[in-house]
Amino acid sequence: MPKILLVDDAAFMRMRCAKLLTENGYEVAEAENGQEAIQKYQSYRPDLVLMDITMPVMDGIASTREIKTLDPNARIVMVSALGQQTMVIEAIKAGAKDFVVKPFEPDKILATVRKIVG
Amino acid sequence: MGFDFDMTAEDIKVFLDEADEQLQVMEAGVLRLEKEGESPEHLQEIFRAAHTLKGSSATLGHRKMAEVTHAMENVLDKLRKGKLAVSTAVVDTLFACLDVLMSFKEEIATGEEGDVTTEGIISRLGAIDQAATGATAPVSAAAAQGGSPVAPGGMPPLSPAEEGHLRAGQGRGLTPVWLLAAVDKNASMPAVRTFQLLLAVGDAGEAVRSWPTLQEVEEDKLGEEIKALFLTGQRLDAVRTALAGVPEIQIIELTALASETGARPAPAAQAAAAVMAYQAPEVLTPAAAPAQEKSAAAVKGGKNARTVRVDVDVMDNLMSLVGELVIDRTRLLQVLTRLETEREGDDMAQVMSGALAHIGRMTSDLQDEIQRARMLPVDNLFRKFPRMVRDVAQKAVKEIEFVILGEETELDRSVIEEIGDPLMHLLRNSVDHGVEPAGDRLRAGKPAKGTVTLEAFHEENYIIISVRDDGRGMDPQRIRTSAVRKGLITEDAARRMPDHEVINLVWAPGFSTAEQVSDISGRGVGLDVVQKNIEKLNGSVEIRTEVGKGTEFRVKLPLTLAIIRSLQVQVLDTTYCMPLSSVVETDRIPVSAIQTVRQREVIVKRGEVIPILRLIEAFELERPEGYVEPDEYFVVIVSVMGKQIGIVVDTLIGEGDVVIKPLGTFIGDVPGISGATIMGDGDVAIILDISSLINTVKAELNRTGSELNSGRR
Repeated sequence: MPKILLVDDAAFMRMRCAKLLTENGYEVAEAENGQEAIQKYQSYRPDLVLMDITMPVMDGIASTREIKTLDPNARIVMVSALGQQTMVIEAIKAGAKDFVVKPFEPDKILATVRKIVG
Repeated sequence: MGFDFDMTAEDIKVFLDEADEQLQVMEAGVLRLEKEGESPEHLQEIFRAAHTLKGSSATLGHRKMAEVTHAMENVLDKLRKGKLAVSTAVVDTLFACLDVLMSFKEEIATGEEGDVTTEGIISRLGAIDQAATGATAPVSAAAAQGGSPVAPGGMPPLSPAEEGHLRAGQGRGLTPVWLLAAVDKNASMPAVRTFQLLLAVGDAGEAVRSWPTLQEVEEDKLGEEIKALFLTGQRLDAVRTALAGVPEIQIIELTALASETGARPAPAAQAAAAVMAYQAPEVLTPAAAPAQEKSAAAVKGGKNARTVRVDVDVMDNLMSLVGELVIDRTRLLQVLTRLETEREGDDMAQVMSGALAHIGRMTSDLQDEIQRARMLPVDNLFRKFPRMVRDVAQKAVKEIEFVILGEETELDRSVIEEIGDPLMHLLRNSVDHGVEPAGDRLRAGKPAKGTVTLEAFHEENYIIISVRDDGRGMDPQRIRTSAVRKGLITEDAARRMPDHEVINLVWAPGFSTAEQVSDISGRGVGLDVVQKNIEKLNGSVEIRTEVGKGTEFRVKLPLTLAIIRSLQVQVLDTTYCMPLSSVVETDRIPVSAIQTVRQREVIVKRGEVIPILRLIEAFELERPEGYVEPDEYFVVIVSVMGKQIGIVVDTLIGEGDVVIKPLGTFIGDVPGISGATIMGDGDVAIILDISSLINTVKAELNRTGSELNSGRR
């Protein structure tokens, strides 16, 4: 079962997303901010990280950068709100593979995830 | 309301809890913004909260909330980036936004669409936003016409450096490839897709030049199409597959170019690197700085990362389960005692004794832990107040310094939930009636700015919440006049009543000291409701006031609602518990000391007349036949809000903690009883509702026209 790490400060978003992913056969772990994501990444070794951008403690871009340093093969997809285009570009420069837009459509998020981890 | 896919009640609850938090963060932030002026840190906090709420509300499907938070985000972003200055208009608009969001949150909570629309607030935000963009208009105009400098169709001319790069590449055996592509019209972030495509081009070969350049993409200067000229060593179809992997991109044309294309002689090609200069590491550094800042904040915020949300009901259940355990343990102890007496020196009895001692320690630890888990710092509640005090002060045209102390003091969550409204009322009262207008203050030699303090602290087994002001204080004379005018008391009685009792008249229903009922505090809901709500929590409130100096309301609350310290007494075979907070003293009085005044039994203690209530009569119990009245009675003097009565009981048992269990709906509200508990021996004990018992007696006195209220001898 492919493993996905969900990073978002909003418990509500994590819950929605985790539900969708587990229902579609993925194993899910969660982190509340970029900092926690780095720790969880090392212990959980997910096949894919779904990473929110704006978060307290450490944002998604800084976290992406760190995770990419730890594991250059890390596959990270940004979860972004509309209007964060510049930040998404920043994240992609930092090594993120793709992005999905919040509020996410279940089909889109699944398509994006499938494309990367199968 | 049109919620998105399968939203469950649990989903909505999580959303609401979180929305509450975000709103509070925003409110605290805006308040600080108003007080301390611009601060990037506060702006960042508010921005983040608005952003999170936007994401969640959009996912939930509450379009209006998403729209407003989105518009807020725009303004906050400009504030954050210094494109807009913090002004009164900005602060007021942000507060107005919070009000609107609050009403939307209510809509979600109740599932009923309210009448608040988004137009008004969005246009206010728009006006502020406009003011900001007006100032920076030249920049955006430049950006608008700055798109790709390419004529549609053919390949634009190359610079000498680019041509050199091309030639050199060809010299190394690479094929020049021409790409024409477009981003899907409905792609949500075209710049990102363009960026991804150009990165993919870079992966597939060496880019010579792209239109737009990566730099332009970052600045969001996009044209209709994306064009690129690059060199590759790969086969064309492999390149196509790689590029097609970028979502939402249409590849219109991908052709290998003949070797003579653009093949004019040119200088050496290393300058081509400039085109892709964005990849150079130094461009990344501006973003690295904020990241460092963030990780400093990480150390600070790291501690609340390891928490779980638990429903209060779960905590209540745990508490009551532990209560049951305690009871079972006591039963076992009784069995043990019998075992020990009947079979002295028995091994089993010894083992059991050890085990029971251990169970005893465990249960009391468990009880403490659960109790601790139920505690929340009052900060959760207190941080709602600065905004309210600000609004009330603004309406009353008063300058108020609002001081909060002891916000780290912890209180049972259920108490925190219930105490909010009473405190809010007391605070309004202080601002509105307590603190005098600036002119009066100056004349009285006080600073024009009034101070209202809200403080929480521990005192023995209670939490005291003090609401105090440095205002005019309560004048007993004015209260007398007012009470008489309102028909709450006769003129005669008012004159005889001592000052400290007069003050307590403000708790009477329908009382208000303000000469004119103000728009803010004096509407319908009086202090009597405050008092009632506090009593419901087994708490009490008292007033300390000095004319010209100020007034203090001291709210005394039990640490928890689930367990109370109580005095246990017995009548017939039943045990009754009285909250220790309302017990003044216990006494033994001879039957002869009881006098009858206008059909009411009373005793006189220290010059005060105290009405007597016999529990046996209050609950209409019957003595068994052959019962002999004793010569002496045990009397428990109880007091709530300065009103005292003496309760006659058969015996005093002692003090102890009891776990309150509600009576349940099938029994319903019984006057004089607030709940029940199970004692150590498994028996049920009744918890008395002292304030309702006192009120019964007082109501009876009022009916018979007695003037015992005044404490006259």
